[in-house]
Amino acid sequence: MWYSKILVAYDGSKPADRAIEIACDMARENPGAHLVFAHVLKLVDSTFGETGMNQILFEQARDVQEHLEKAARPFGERAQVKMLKGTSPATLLVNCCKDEACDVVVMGSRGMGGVKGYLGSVSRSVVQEAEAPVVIAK
Amino acid sequence: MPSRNTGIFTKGFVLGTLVNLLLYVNYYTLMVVMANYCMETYATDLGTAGFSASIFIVGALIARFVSPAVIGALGRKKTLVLGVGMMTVLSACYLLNAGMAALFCIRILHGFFYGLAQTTVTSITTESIPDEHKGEGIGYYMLSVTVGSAVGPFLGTSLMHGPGFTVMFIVCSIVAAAGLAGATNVHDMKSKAAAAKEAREGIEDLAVAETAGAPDANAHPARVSHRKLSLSTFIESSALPISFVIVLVYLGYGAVITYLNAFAAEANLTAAAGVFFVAYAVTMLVSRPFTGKAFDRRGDLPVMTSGFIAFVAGMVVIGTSGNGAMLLAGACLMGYGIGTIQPSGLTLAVRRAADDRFDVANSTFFICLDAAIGLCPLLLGWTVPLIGYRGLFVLLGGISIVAFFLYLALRKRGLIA
Repeated sequence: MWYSKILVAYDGSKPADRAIEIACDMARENPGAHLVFAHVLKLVDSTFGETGMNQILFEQARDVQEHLEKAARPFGERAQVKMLKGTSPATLLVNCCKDEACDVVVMGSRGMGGVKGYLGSVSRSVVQEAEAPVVIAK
Repeated sequence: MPSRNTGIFTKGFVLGTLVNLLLYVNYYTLMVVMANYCMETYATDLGTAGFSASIFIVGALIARFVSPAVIGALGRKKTLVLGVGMMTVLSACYLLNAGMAALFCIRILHGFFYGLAQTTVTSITTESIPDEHKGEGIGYYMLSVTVGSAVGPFLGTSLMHGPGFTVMFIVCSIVAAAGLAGATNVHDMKSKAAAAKEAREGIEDLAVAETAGAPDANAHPARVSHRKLSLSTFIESSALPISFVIVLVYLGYGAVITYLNAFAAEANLTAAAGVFFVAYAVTMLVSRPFTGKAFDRRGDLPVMTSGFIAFVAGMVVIGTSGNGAMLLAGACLMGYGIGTIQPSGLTLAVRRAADDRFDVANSTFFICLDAAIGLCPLLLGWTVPLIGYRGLFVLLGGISIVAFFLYLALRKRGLIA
């Protein structure tokens, strides 16, 4: 097999759920492959002091984390879940791919607000910037 | 762009965002002029005058601890209406001119009910945003924070130098009353019963964990916003190093926001002072997307370095400004500096924490930030009679240099990045 470590980028969208299915199928076909499920937690910064916004986002991210941990569970130690924190989702995913030495990225074609039929901006950026091949799920 | 009726811009979202905007206008209008008001009305010393402004933040900080209990008892809608209603009453109370002791009471209560109202309206409004437009909606909502924080100081300074403090307090009361009118029409999608149940479950979970002596009393941080008061709930030790660096930087911000108008009156820079925070906010808005991306691409060191250079330069320029253009240049430098250091610091604080503690790391960071603003006048107000406002701002530029080297040292020890 040409891949040994798969990065699965998840943002809660339907294409991202399909990406999880594809990545899990790939991991089942190759018992030696590892999975890295990643979700980007885009922090809301306020230089004017606490706005309470991040606490709300953290609570929502908790649901995502549980969803990813459920997807990772059947693979045991072969799978891990990473919550990436920052402001630029594409850059964080590309960095994660490099740091984890992943040799393929699987992600949805568009995010939650994306337009059907068009490649989302994050997906496009990851395709352009990632050093590994990118599988786009629709 | 989503349609007005089916996407982000529902009646609830627009109303909630407007209420938040009005809360920030009310807060910042008074924040930047309160020291002047105290010195002119009660002839207080600088430290006391400054603290009369910043004690508001102490009240807001207390509110964040107790808001879960209040929401659990009343539900979000009633908590919001209570908060904004009391802000309206307390804004009118400034007109009583009842002395410094009464003023301190009014300020801390005002901050408390502001904190209560602000966290609740944020919670209600963001919940009304459809999931598929969450990021975009949050961006629009946060604009109300930026705009309110720029309009408020402009309004406060203009009214103070124009019609005077009495009219200013009346305008603040009207702003709060408008917020109350909006708040009473906000629709909370979550029923009171559901919100109260969630709050109770969060408190019970924590009580059980603490009774059992479980080391992971924070095992359900997802419910941290509904948890009972506990120091360990809100303080994450791994976030403390970077938070301490932020405290040193935000002493500078606290001094500027508290004493800028008093300094400007003395230096004959009142016109520029009125738009100082507009220049500050615009610079931040413009630079933030670039510095955020640079942080993710290149790491914290180059971005933080540029931020510290700009902030130190900004404090020195403000402290040595001889004309309006220089003061506004200082505002832009400070806007870039804070707009880079604070978000980068927050990301560093959250990243260092374990996944089940990153919300606590967020709380820790903002508690330190708010404490710096709140306590700055008490800690440093006494220096102004000795070295003047200019000396204070330059001194804080020097303290920020210390903060930078502290950041580097802590970073080298692996305590920050």
